[in-house]
Amino acid sequence: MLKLLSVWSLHRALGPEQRRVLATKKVDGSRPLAELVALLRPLGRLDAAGNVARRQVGGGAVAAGVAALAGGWIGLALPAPGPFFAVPAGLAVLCIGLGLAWRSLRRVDLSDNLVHVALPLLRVLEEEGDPRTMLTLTLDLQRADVAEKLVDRKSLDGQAGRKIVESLYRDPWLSGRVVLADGARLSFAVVDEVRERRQTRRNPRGKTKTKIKLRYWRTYRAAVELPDEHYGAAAAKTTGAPVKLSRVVKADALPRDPLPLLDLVAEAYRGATLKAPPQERRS
Amino acid sequence: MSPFIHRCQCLRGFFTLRPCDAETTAACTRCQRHVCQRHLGALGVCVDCAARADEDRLFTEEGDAWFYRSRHRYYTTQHYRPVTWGTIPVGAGYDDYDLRSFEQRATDDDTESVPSGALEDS
Repeated sequence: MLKLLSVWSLHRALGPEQRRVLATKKVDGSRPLAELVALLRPLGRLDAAGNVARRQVGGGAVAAGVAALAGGWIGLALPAPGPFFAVPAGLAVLCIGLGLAWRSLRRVDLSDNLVHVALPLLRVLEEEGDPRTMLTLTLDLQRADVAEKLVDRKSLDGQAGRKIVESLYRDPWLSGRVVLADGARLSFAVVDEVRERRQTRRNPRGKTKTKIKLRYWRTYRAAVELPDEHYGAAAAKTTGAPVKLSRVVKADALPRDPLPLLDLVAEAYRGATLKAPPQERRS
Repeated sequence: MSPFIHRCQCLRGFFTLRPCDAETTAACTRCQRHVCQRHLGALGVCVDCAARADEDRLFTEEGDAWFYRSRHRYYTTQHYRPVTWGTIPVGAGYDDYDLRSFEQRATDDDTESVPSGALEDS
């Protein structure tokens, strides 16, 4: 319950632009890195608190509902005096209230990619560039399995009366480009491809059961162009034309950090030899 | 520039390291380096010292402290040696990875051979 209050106070502290991002769940445009971090960090905090609160509130709603049903059943079975039914009635009201709170928390839920990938990455870029460096960013914080990201859906024939529906979603949720402090040009993109396999079958007792299995492919792409004037011949492969690197991670659960993307950029720097250091700037 | 104004000796950057160079507000109680407000961690130690003392924290934390912990851990676990540029004073608190570029250049200088036929000082 305390977390719910914390979410409420975090939500109240959001500015108009942050509320707009929370409503659309999209960030698009070009602006200074420090400004982007300042815009998204409170949203990340809200999302992290919201995830915990949603679990607590959902658990509370289920518990209150079960307790209300059990109380009502006991009251009818005994039979109990009239005032006894105030307890299950109160629990039912609590269940409904918590259910509504859960729904509103779900509405303000953002993709966990914000907290686990985008914000750490932006913080690295902020440190690697200048706070005033402009970052062109496209960030989509909707779920991967929304209708607009659906690219294919087909029904497959399953064995023993099983019905299998396979849906494929493509979610290009992050892309951006920035010039780093040493003059290197970096552009990056992350695309998630999700396969949802929904298998439905009816058992001999007539009960319908559904199993959902998700499979993820996450493709990281980074293009790094190191400036010729600062990096030497040893880095010939990374200077001049941009080095384009990509990595695909296939998993049942997506990675929860920006490490693969950082690895790609680090890979471009690995062979680099500093020829002439960029001029220092007083901050 | 006044000799009494110290510049922050912490390093900025992730893939490339460079001196922060902001005006300092304090000195780290552990490594004695001059540090600016941004690089001063809790308990009067610099963020790098705080990171080294507390490396087992996860990447997912918010705030600035995780960045310095993660940077050091990333270099250690991924064996990444960042490019370093700028004037970095040699002294307490700098690892060999901080000084990689200097070592590289020194090695390059050593291996330069004297061209044949060139005059040498006697």
